[in-house]
Amino acid sequence: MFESGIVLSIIGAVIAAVLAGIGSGIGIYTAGSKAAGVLSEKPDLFGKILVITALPGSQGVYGLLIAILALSKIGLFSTTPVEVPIEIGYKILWAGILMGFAGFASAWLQGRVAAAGIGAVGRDESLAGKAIVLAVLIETYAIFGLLVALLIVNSIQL
Amino acid sequence: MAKVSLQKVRITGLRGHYKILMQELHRWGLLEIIEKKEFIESSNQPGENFFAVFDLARLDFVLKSLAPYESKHDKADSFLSGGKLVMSEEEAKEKLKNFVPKSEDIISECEQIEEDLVRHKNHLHRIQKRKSIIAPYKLFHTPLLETFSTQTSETRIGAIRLLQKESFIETISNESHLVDLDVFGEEDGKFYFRITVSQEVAPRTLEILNSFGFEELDVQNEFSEFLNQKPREIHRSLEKEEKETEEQLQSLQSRREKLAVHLNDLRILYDYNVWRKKKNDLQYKILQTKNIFAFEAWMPERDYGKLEKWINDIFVGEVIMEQVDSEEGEVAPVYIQNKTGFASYEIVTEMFGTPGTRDIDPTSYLAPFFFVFFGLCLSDVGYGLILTFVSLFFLLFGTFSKSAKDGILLLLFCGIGATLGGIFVGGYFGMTAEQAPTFLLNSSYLAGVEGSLPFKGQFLDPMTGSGPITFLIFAIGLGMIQLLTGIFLDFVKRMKNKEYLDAFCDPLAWFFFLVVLCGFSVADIVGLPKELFKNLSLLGAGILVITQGRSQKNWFLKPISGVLGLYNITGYVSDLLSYSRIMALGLSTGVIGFAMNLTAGILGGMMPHPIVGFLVAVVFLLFGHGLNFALSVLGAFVHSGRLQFIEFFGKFFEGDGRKFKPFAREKKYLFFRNP
Repeated sequence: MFESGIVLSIIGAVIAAVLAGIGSGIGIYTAGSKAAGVLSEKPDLFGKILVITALPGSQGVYGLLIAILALSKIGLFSTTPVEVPIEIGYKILWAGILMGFAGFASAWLQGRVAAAGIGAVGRDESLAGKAIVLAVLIETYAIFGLLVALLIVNSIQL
Repeated sequence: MAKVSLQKVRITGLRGHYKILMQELHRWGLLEIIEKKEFIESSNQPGENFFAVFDLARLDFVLKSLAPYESKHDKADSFLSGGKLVMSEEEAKEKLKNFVPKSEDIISECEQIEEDLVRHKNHLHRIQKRKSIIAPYKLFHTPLLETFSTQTSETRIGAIRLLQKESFIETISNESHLVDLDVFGEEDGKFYFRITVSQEVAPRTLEILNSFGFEELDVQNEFSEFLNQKPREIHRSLEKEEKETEEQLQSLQSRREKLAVHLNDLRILYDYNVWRKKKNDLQYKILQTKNIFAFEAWMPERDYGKLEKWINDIFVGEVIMEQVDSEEGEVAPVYIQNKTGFASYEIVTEMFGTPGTRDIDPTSYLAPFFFVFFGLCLSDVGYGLILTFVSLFFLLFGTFSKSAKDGILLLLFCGIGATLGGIFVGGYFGMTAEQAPTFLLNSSYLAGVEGSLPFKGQFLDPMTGSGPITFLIFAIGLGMIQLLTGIFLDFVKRMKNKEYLDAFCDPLAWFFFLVVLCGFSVADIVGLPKELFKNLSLLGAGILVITQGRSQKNWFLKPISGVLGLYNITGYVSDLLSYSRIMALGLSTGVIGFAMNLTAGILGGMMPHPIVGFLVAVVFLLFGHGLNFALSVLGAFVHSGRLQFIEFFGKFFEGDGRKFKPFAREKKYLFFRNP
């Protein structure tokens, strides 16, 4: 199966979406559990805490983005099937692996930073902005992953 | 200058004037009172309630319990003011005057209702529990007794698990013939029955019952007041009691709902009482003796004359205000104020911190960058227009405090920026040229031709050909401009703080080096003399090698430190790369929008009927674009912010200041309209 361009491409797209999605899930789980705890004490903080909790969610979207872009590049959504050369398949596979792992690790760990930030906001509301900034520092690396994956996928011309 | 200079003042006066002075100072909100240890320690006057204060905890409790019953009309009224009550100060005073006499009655009535509600709810709970216990025994036609046993027989009523019914009956009938079993029913997985046995076998029977987990009906504890009544009658009277309690709960509930008409008056009362308490509490932070009071405070220099004149006019020398110098090591708070428009971006600055005493206020410098970065990160005309119109609506029709208004204004700017960014990269809800309406398209557009852009006003297409690279270079170019601005501001800041040597050796030397290096790297493209810039770059590097080692004491180490100082160039390179996020986020908005459109089309096409398909597609589009909008706006905001905080502020801004917090009225519920 590693000789078919289309199979490789689909594996790449799946890795990007699934790994980044799992990372986001774990990240939001970590942050969300902490958020629920803080909210039980201070329900007024919901707006601020929601924003911090949502931060690890973006990696899942980046993964989805790469997956859909890759699938549309190989013509999966069009009615006429396109022959996908093996090199293109490998391009997409590597882009997917890159996005998947960058998204997975950064979302997973961003969730921890977000959870700690939520704890800080629970004690002092005015720290919300700083807590967001700290969590966003990690996201940089997901964005770099996204950037490189985008450049790879976008270079494909079929 | 966006930092307002502050003046330290001391106010001393006769104690008799405390009340009227505080009243006015609080209303003006100009002074930040300093808690001075010596003053507090030498105070020798017990506290006094200058202003009568209602118990705030009680008020808060009542407000919280009534809030869910606020009329829809009132709620709709406060929607456009962020939940605040809009009125003039006179109106509020008038309402307060009318309400105060009856406030105690209303508050205690509400407290009583809350207490009764809890009591009745607990009672209802207990009735329902007992009802469910007795219900399965309705077929037991004997009045309940404390014990049913006689001299010769023993009777028990109760239940075991239904699963064990067969084996129980078998065991018990094997044990003795003198057993009478009367079955009432099988409910909820339990088997209810009466068992009567002769006294001889009673102990053995009890053992068997216990081994089957027999739950006996506890007549003595649960139903002691119903002795000599049949279970059916007990059930009936419990039902009656339940109904009565429910009715009582209903009437309490409606009484509480009626009280909710006083919510707004209660809110006014609350805010006024918080202010009174603040004014009372202040006396513990200042010097007060039997006859006088004194305190020190920070205030904006520009308001000094106005306040001094007012104090002199009213108190004619019995309260005096004078300027004092700040003490050694004392750090003044920082008050920043920018022109309308720029003031909105103070929110971004405050997210990071308040400018320190050495800092310059970065707000007006970050504003244009934030505007452009946010615009390019969101880069969708559709989303930008939504943001623009929603914030415009609230600005035009709403009544908000200045800080809330600044926040909405910031969103408006973000919306405008995103609209322009969207035109720049051709983002319209993620539509492709084939999907877009023709009035958005260039008439000369040729699909598939490199350099031919589909949308009107579009500058680059981030999805095709060299578009992504152009976008990336553009983003990094913007980053370069911001970094150089940051370094230049560092130069300005150091000059202002009279650190002339540092100002020339660090920021200026780096500024020169980076500019000529940029010139060198783009020399071929824009046609600059390459050789000249090469030499200038070498000169810049040379200057850095000479200057960066200046803090080294050892003459031998100076040049080594200088060369190592050059290594900082890597820091600038990584800062620059960080700006690539603008391109990645800008692209992601468009691609996710495109993916949503694509999925909606596929989903719609799968439906058996075109109308159903159309509806499904519309619902999915609303959901998908709503999600993309929320995530993209959040991402654009936090990442544009991050670029300011880490890359830009890192060059010149410390943000270690303490924010000026004047002694002023904090309005939780009220908003005063100018009369």
